Amino acid sequence: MLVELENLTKVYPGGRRAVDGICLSIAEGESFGLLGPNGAGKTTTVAMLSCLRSPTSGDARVDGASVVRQPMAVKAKIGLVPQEISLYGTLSAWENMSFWAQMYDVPAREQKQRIAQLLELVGLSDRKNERIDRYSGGMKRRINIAVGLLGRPRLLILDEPTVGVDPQSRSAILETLKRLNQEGLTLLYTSHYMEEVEFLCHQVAIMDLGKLIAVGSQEELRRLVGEKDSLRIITQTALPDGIGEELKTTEGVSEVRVGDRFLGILTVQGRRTLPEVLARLHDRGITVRSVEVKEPNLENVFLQLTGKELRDE
Amino acid sequence: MKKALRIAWKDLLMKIRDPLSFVILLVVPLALILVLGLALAPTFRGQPFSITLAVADQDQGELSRILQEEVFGGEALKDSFRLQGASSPEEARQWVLRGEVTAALIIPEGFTALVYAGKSTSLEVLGSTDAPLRGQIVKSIAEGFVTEILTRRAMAEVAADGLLSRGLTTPQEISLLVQSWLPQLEQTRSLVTLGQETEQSTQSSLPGAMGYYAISMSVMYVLYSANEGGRSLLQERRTGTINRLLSAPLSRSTILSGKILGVCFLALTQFLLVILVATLAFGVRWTDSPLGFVLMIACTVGCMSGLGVLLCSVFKTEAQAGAIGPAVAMILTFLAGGMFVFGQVSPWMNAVMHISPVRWAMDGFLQLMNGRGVTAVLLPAGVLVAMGAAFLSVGVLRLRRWQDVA
Repeated sequence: MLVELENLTKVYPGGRRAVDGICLSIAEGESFGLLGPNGAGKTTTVAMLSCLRSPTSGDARVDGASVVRQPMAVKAKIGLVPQEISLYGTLSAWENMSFWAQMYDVPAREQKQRIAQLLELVGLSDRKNERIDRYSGGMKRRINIAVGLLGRPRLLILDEPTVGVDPQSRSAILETLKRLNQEGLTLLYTSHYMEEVEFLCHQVAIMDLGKLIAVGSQEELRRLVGEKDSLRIITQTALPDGIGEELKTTEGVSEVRVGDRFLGILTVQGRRTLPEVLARLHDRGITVRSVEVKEPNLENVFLQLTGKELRDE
Repeated sequence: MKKALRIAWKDLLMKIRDPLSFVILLVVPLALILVLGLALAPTFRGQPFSITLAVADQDQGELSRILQEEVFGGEALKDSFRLQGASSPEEARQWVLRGEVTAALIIPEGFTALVYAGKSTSLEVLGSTDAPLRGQIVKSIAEGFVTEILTRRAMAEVAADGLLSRGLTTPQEISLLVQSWLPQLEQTRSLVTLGQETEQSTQSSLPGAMGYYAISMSVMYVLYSANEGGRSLLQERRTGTINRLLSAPLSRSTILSGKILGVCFLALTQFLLVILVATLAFGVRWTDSPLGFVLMIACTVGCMSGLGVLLCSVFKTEAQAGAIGPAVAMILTFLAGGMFVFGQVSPWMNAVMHISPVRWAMDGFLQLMNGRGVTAVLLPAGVLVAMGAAFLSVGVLRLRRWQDVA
């Protein structure tokens, strides 16, 4: 395994457990997705794996090197693409790349060639001498990724790399990452966007409140909810006690999650079950604000496992 | 070290690329030197040294006349003293209290007669607290006058005793002889010398206005640019580039060294540019001692960079650094007498001024500007090094803690 996390834990001052004893492995050449809402602990996990923060307990290893005992060895094997555009706005793309190449120990004789290759990869060779602060959001994101690749890392860690990017640029970024993965680069990808993870990742881990609640391939995770549809109902008023138990008796319904004004229902045939569910809610005097029927996908898995939606936060 | 230097060079390049920073760090200090240098030039031009002295003459005798007409009104001092007769000691005192005169001299009744008779008497000098130095000068001249009288009296008495013991003259003749000697007091060269020396020492510590403000403003802006350099660390945190640096294969101490070097580079570049332009454009003559000058530049940049790092470790955001940092630089410069010349100050005020590192830097550069050599700047240079080391140590300690939660 290229990456191994063993009981990795981070407790912040004040006692908040941002990451709570997670264990997982990532094989070489894999594209691994880490899903979770804000506060789930995925950024802290990435920070510990990138040696930005030290674990409170447990350890993480990259290619056998421990983040606790050999952080410099770990740093030499990883490339980080942070959530922020971690570039210097008043410098050109080439100057940024040149600076970071030196930071990533790229030998001086190889620097020019490698920078040129990466600029070509992200499609910005013709804009290399422009200042970064004159780039569009999508172009900045592409350079942000190119910088992460400068040190020829064994593992590329991408923390929400497409935030604020237009659909066209997002598509280009994902295609580039897929190609890199196909060429053998191991990816650890965190995102809010389920469709990105579905497109890119073979293996997916779902985190919530600092804990791993499911790990597996996309197929394995989908199997957790079976071939069932999800009903997502938002109500006008607060839901009374016992409503979950009552709805569970509806034909075809296998699971009900109840929030304050939210119902998540797992059912064999969503469109056939929906009228009866709505009728029962009406009988209890509950006004429905919106209804959504979703077919099986990772989002449903997430919804069922956490009781919340990825982009709710 | 190579990576640290690269970080420092990157920081300098970024500041140079920022037109606003360029204006603030180079154009503004030069404009301030020009404006303050021109506006406050009269302060430095050796204005006529003048003391308005109230004289309450209760004696109206020979010696009080000599003191007023031949000493204070004599050729050497008449341009510096304007005498104003008071009808009584109380009136003279009131004038001093109201600030209408710089000082008052009270000559008691019977002063001349008592001196001739060899009896005890005194002159009273009242000085304004607003101008303690000038009151001191009046007192010194009066003391000198009294000392001269007493000296001549003693000499006359010794001579007279000798003559009497040999029966060569009578007491009446000696009394006449003493009276003929004492009026020669108008030839009080020593008293005149005292006044001139005091005036010279006041002026010798001040170079021209342009030179003075070239020193104070350039030192202030070294601190300003050091604060700007420190701000870049906060900027790295805001933009997230610090995380990328921390995840790259380089140690935290390398990153910190690079950032500190960046602060020094920026401060040094800015300082050298201001010195160069001030020399070429305003004709400021900094020194005859290149070694002393290099030493002072190095120590000033080092000290201010240390302070810049400390300030950066205290501030939590760039906005704080942008607002408070320059204010700190201005306060320290004002405290150091870099904005306005305080002239002669009391010892405690002098001590307060030297709390500011800007004062020590100014002391060193003023010494050099007054033609002194490298040995004259060893004390200010040493103090700047000590202060800089203390600032840097505390700043680095704070930043290490800060990095842990970056």
